[in-house]
Amino acid sequence: MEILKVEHLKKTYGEGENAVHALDDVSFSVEKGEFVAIIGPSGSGKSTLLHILGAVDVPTSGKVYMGGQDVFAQNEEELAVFRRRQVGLIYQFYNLIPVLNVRENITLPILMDGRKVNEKRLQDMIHTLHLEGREKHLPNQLSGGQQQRVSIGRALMNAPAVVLADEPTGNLDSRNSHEIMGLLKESNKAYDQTLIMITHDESIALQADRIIAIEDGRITRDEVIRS
Amino acid sequence: MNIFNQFTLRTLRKNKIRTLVTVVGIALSVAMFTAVTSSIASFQQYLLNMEVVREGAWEGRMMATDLQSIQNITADKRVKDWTQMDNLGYAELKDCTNDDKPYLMIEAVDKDFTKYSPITLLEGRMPKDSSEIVISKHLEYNGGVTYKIGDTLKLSVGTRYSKAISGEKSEVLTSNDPYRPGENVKEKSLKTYTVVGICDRPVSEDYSSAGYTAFTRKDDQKAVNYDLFLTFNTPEQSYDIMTKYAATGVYKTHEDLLCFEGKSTNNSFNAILYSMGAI
Repeated sequence: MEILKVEHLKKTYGEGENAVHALDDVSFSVEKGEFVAIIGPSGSGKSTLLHILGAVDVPTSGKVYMGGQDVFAQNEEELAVFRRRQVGLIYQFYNLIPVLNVRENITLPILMDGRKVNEKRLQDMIHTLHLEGREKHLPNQLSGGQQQRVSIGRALMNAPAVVLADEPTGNLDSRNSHEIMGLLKESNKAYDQTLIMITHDESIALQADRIIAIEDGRITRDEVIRS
Repeated sequence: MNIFNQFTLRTLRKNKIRTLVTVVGIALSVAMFTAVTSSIASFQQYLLNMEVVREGAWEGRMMATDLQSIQNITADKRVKDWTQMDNLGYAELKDCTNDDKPYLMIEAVDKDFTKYSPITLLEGRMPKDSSEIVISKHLEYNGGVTYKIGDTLKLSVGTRYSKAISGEKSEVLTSNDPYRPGENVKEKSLKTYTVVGICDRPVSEDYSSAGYTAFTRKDDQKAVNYDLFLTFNTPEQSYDIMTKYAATGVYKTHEDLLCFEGKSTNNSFNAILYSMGAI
């Protein structure tokens, strides 16, 4: 089942001679449960693509369909709800809220929605993320790996349609990187969670089901690694 | 407490000095804003109060008008309130030293008159009926005629007429008309008054007026003409409203008062005032 479809996506910064085409007519689709790695050199448009998919940025032209719905046909309020419920974002530098503890950071999308937290799901999540005993700790009391695990918990807590990860292991050592990748692959396999991940690391990209290579805002390669 | 409030409170607690500086900054700016607007409002009210004390609270005045015009304008919903001054006529002053002001101008008012046009009593009291009179002090120092409280005045009160120039009828002269050489007073009737008070020169009397104002109490007497002092629900329209109804006589707005109220009939002035306030 197709969960994500991108049609003729363009993103241009500036005008005329100073125009920078960050994305130049990008089109692809992703099936539910697929693990897609996006690779490319620095400045190729990977992060721009990810931010547009997560409705954090707006395209110049083109369409993005998530679960059959035109994402950018929604108004600002609907987009805010979409970002909270349909998308999970994981960043290289975690982007946790410094004054909220582990529990509050993980449940943030649910709390912002004004809904009640499913305690069992939360405890299962904390257990899976190996964060037992750290629930009341603030981000500055955690290691890098632990912080990234909190970030993953926050992204997965709402069971979004798609998890978008922008170099989630970029700031971690190899041991922690391995651990994080393990968690992401586990959620991908166990929960059929669609995962789109940007990475510079070829070895990590090869762990995905499919690799999309971007260069100068265009897709240069779209290869299925394992079906 | 919802997550946004928790986040806000914890962030404020985490950065205590920044929070304190922000709170002090907000307090200072609110205090400054309050002080400035209070000062402006207070000063504006002071100017308004001074003007009311000096010249009265009327916003529009119709002078030497007729009863029909008064009836018509006071029926207009845009007119808030009014008071009336009935001009009973003029009496010649025998020993007056001012050739340009040889009359006593008898005006009949009711007890509410001073609500809109002040009368400053220097001695005595206001008249209680139409046999009593209050004389203006400037009759003595400007006209050379002195009356005391208790004096009885027997006056021939009539209507001023201009000198008839060949081929033309003489016309009735009102409080709007300065003294004209050759004019005379006709249709006289004898009236007796007791002086019960001396007042300062009233603001309702124009400097070019041909007579010194004397106030008596209104009764059923028919007046030569009438002055109407008005306030409006829409003071900015005062001039237009009076224009609509004034069949005879002259009319004017109390422009200083309206300016201080921010309701001048001059739109440009209002625009400047409010722009400065906004800035």
